[in-house]
Formats: sequence, structure tokens, C-alpha cells
Amino acid sequence: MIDNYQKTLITLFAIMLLALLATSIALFIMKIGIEPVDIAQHYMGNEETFIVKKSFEGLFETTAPHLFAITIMIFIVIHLLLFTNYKKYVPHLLAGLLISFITDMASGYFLIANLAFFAIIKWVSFLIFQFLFIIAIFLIISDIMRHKTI
Amino acid sequence: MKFTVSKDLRNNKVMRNLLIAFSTIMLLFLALDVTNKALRFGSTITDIKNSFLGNEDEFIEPLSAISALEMVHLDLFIAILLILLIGSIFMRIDTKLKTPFLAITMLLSIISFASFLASVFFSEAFVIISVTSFLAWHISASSMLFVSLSWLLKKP
Repeated sequence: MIDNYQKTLITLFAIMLLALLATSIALFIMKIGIEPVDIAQHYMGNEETFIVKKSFEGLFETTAPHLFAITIMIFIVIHLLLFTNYKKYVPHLLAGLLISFITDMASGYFLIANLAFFAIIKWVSFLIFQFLFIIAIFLIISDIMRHKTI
Repeated sequence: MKFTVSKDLRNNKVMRNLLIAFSTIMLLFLALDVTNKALRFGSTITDIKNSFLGNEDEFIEPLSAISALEMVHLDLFIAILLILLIGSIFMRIDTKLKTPFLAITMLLSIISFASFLASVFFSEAFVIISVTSFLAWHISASSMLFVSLSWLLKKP
């Protein structure tokens, strides 16, 4: 059983995490675009629309802090899920989150190496990551609200 | 994360000293965060409005939507970790007020980020709410840290 304090802490933590995910989706759309074509142009550049190709250094500046931040967030969320009635889903969720996150991060490097196909892979892995993270957060919230067993 | 399972942390000298150091540095961080924002955006409502929305007469460019979102993205990540850790220490304090205190801190921080974005995207009316809630959640989190520090410094 959890007390009111823990319930408040975890519920509001989950809401703040959802807000963080919302900002990351908004940033993705505003900076890169919605479709795989936009992703390819953002990384590989386009002379006609004056979009400059991303440099390795520029990409690395984004990758390094995200590797730290997203791994910590995955650790916290999965760690909380282990105390819920949904712990049987943890191995699948963890694998899905880590694979989609690493694929998303790595795709940028393949794109600047002119492998345009990775635009689709980046797009799909980004969507899968966001979807799985939202599912994980909702599982935590639903467990707290229904069973009070976290 | 031993401190999440140990009931009375004050009996463990190493853990106690670690949390005293952590709480002190987090207090410093909160103070520096307010200072940093005051230096970046100004310390009066007029300066802040000009920094957020721009001012043609004074040739001040408005804050771009992407810059605002990037700032919220980073600050929100820091706030989540900070409040989660402060909240885990504050949990040990024996008072009925701890749950409302925690809820107020977290809600104020959410309001602060939402109203900041609203002031950049929708209306300058949100600037005052953004500034007030930003200061309020920092004061509230600092108070949680002060209470935790005084509890940690007291002999069990």
C-alpha cells in the first residue's frame, strides 16, 4: 500500500513526464517536421530550400545529453513499473524503449552519411519510443489510481 | 537508491552527510536558477515582457517559439529530477502538511512552464502568472529543502 504522499509524488511526476514528452514531440515537429521526407531534408540538407546538411559535431551535441537524460528517465519509469501489477510487461517495455531510443539516435548518423532510408527508420523509432513511454506512464498512473499497490 | 528504503536516514552517518550536502547544493542551485533567469530575461515585469515578446522601439527580438520550447524541455527535465529527489527526502518528515506542500510545489512548477509557453505563444497576460509561479515553486522547493535540512541536522 502507498500513502497519500507517495501517491501525489508519483502521480504528479508522471504528469510532468507527460509534459516533457509533449515538448519533445512539439520540438521534433517544429524543428524537423512530420514526414520522413522532412527528416531526410533536415539531416541531409537541401540546396533548393537552403537547408544546410547537419554536421557530425552538431548531431553529437544533441546525442550526448539525450543519452544521459533519456536513460535516466527510462530507469526511473521502469523502476516504478516494477512495483506495480504490470511488472510482467516490464521486459518487453524496456526492450522496446531501449531499442527504439538507440535506433532513433543512431539513425541521424546514418542520415548524414547519405543513407536516406534511415529517415523512415528514425520516424518509426521516434513514434514507437513516444508511444511506449506514454504507455509506461499510463500504466503507473492506472496502477496508483486503481490498486494502490506501488 | 538506499535512501528510498531506509526509514530513519539520520541513523546512518554517511547517508545523513550525503543528504545534507545534496540538500545544501540543491538550495544553491535553486537560488542560482532564479539569478540566471533574472540575468537572462531581466528582473522587472517590463524587462521580462520585452525579452519574451520583443520590443520594436528598443530593437529587442522576441523569444522564438523553438527557443522557448527548448528552454522548457531542458528546465522541465531538471525540475522533474529535482522535485522527485527533494520529495523523496521530504517524505521522511513527520508532518501532516507534507502532502499539500509537495502538491503545491509540483503544481506551481507545472503552471510555471505552461504559463511561460502560453505567454510566448498566446498572450502577454500570462507573463505575470509565469513569473509569479516560477518564483513560487522555487520558494516552495527551497522551503522543502530547508525543512529537510533542519530535520537531517537534528539528532534522532
